Amino acid sequence: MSASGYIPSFKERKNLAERIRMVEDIKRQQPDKIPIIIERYEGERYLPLLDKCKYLVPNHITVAELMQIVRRRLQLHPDQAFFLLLNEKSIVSNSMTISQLYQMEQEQDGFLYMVYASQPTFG
Amino acid sequence: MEQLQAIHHTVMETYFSLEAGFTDIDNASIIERAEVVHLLGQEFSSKEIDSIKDFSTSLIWFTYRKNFPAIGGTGPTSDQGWGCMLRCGQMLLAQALTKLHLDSSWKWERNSKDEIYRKLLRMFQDKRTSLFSLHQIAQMGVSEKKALGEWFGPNTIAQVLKKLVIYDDWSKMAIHVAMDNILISSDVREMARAKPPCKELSDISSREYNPQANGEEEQNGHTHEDIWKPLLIIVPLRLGLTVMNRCYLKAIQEYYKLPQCVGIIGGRPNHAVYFYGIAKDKLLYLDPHVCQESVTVDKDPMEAIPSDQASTVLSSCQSNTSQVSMEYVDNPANSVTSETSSPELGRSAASYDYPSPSTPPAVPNPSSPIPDTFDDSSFHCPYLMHMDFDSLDPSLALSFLCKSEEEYNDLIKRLPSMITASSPPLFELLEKRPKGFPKFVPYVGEEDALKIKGEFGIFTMTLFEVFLEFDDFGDPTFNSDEEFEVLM
Repeated sequence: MSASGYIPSFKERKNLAERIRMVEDIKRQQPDKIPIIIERYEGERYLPLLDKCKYLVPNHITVAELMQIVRRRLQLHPDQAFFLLLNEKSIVSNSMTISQLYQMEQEQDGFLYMVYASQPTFG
Repeated sequence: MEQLQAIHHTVMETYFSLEAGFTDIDNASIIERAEVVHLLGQEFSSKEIDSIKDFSTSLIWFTYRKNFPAIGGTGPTSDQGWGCMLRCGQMLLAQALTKLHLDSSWKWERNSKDEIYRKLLRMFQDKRTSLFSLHQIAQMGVSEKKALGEWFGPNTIAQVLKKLVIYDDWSKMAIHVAMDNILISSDVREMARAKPPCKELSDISSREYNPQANGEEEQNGHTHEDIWKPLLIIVPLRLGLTVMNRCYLKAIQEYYKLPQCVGIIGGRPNHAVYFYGIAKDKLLYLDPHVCQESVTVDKDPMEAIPSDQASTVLSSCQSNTSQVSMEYVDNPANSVTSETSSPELGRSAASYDYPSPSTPPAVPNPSSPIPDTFDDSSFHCPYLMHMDFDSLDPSLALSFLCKSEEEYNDLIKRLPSMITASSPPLFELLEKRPKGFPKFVPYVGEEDALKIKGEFGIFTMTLFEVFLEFDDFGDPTFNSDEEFEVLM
């Protein structure tokens, strides 16, 4: 996994102009869906990688539902620690819809950026 | 990953002198800078430094130990370098059990004769037959996919303790671990009322002497499902990615004011501690990173380790030499943080006076038939230690003890103002499971656990069958950057 090589983040792979164009294109085609980037925290050692990072989420889905979708994608047991963070803070308003969250937290390029992580271990 | 841990282990074999980082707050100014200090729900004026010290010393302290019976018969005989999160879990659990079994006014004095306290302490001895021993925890960790000697995170230790308390017939306490930043009341109520597992599984603790159990056992029985068991609620959180986000400080300060507060397991990166209080933005903690000789606190003195070994810590605390038998263990990677977080060099253990009972029990009374060799001085920390909020690792777990349903109802009245003291809130409190969440399955013992475990990861959330199909998780290829994945 990442031990052998550094994985560049989505922002590193695509420049700002490209990212803006992506959001504009997709919003034209799918106006009621929210473009989200979900990436694994670079320091994460226990959770698997998602095979994709760019998602379109129906705007009425709640944060709690999205969390379960990602949990399931990663095939996690309900007792495994899993946190979705946005801007260095855990997303805790679980009943908020993605569209509400998007209004508050979207970035300049029009994407909503989320990072997932578990908990590190201590000796 | 394993390589990295191996390196950690080697590094941590390096010993540092006690003075290097294991320090006392000698100049009380650190504490006095705060007006009030909150320790596990109790308020102190920062001027009452002696009361604060007494409170801290009364707490049960677990550290690395060496020369205990090999785990699993042939495994490690010391947990130095790997057991710190396990020890922190023990401290949290011991605090919860102390609140459950002993009066709120109970204060520790050295070699306490209190049989309930002694029974409680014995449950944590470093041997297989003690229910909450390092041995039991480490071996239960295997069910959490943690090899013997592997490091734990806060959630892992919470999950392991949840499984172990099932077998504690004396306390009959349940642990609920609230996942995904949400404390869901319907889950809590289900967990508190969940039917205990079959009797034959749970006999370890009842082998011990129990002055109060007779009668009580029959009264409460095991069949009532409507009994609200004492409940320890653990909420694992991640309050930042690499560093602690300062926006959460206010909520953590409020947390330590709650009467149900039983402390936080967390630490600074790689270095777990048990946080029992806060003074402004300094957290007070007990640190397991001292390797002490394993001691026994069994009733039968014949089982005891020879007292010259067992009492080394005590004797060095009593003598006035600067020779201290405790070894402070840390890895150099942390030494910078360790210095910044507790820069004050304290006096050595030698000069600290433990609170003493009126008659010194260390000297066996020749007239009594069985000398009382019980020596618990190494289970109480003579130091006050503190850490800057900013140097905390953002991964931690908060805990709450609700002895009764009333206490839980009181907790959920108090929680909203506590969790929203910071923005965003510390976690969320809900009455019912949110839409799309899998059904809650209270943990009641291995038999049921086997049912839900199944094949790892296939535990399905059927509601979402409609949302998603399973994907293969190959190595990621980023040619998909151009296409969106539609989550529906």
